[in-house]
Amino acid sequence: MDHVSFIVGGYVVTFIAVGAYVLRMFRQARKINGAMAESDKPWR
Amino acid sequence: MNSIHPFPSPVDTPTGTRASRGLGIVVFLGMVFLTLLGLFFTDEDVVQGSTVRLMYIHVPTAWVAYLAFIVTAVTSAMYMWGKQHSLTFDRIAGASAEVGVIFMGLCLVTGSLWGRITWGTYWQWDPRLTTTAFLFVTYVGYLAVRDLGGSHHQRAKRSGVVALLAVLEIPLVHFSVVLWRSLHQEASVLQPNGDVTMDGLMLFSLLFGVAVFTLLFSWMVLHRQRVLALADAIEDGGLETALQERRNEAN
Repeated sequence: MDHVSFIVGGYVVTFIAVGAYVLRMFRQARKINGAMAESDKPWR
Repeated sequence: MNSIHPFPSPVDTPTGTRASRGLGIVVFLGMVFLTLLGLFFTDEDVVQGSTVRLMYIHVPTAWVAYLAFIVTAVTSAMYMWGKQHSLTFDRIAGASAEVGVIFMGLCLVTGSLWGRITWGTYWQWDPRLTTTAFLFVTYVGYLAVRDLGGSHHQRAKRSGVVALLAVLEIPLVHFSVVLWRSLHQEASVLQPNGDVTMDGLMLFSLLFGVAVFTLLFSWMVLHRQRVLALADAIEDGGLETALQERRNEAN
């Protein structure tokens, strides 16, 4: 495969960006979870 | 005592449910399979060579960004013209725009990597690239407008107007390759005459990528709008406390 670093780099950047966003989102969710009682969460 | 782990497991996040966990597992497996398809199982293109492998993530990121911004506009309209002015619609709009900005940014990055190999440069002020960058900046602006302050309903109305205007850029971006002379290739799958010029496994990989990224988008927005609901609840709690303090001072 030619241009391996560009091609694999594209995949790696995509997965790292999505993973970092999801990680940040979950950390924020855990941090502010106490703001709402379990019974008030419509998704529970 | 609850502790915040640096790498929390998706299975015990406060915004997760059994359905969202199931969706998350499907998305993860889909991404693994897409990577295998894109990097190993598909053949090289006769014209593009191995750079076609970037298409299996570049095209889905562009598609998801378009979808995200359309969802933002639709849910903003549902907030503004809905009888109950439900803030859930506003939170879905905000979550969708945020995820859309991530994918639009990734579309620009993967596109510039493809451009470096094919055109010999990371960036050209080409109609498709320029309008895409403009769309990206517009939605960064949309997210800034959401953070301007005020009540939740003020935020929803203000950002809803921006969302309904910003979505009008999408046709301009999509048809820029037809409207102007562009370095960027025209559509490979949805051509105006209905022809499909892709090989079977390549086409499958591209469509599979679009499907997996669409599920990923749904999963991310589902969780993000729940996090925004928690954040709104925190603000409401803080406001209620401040109002109570002012009432106590007055008495």
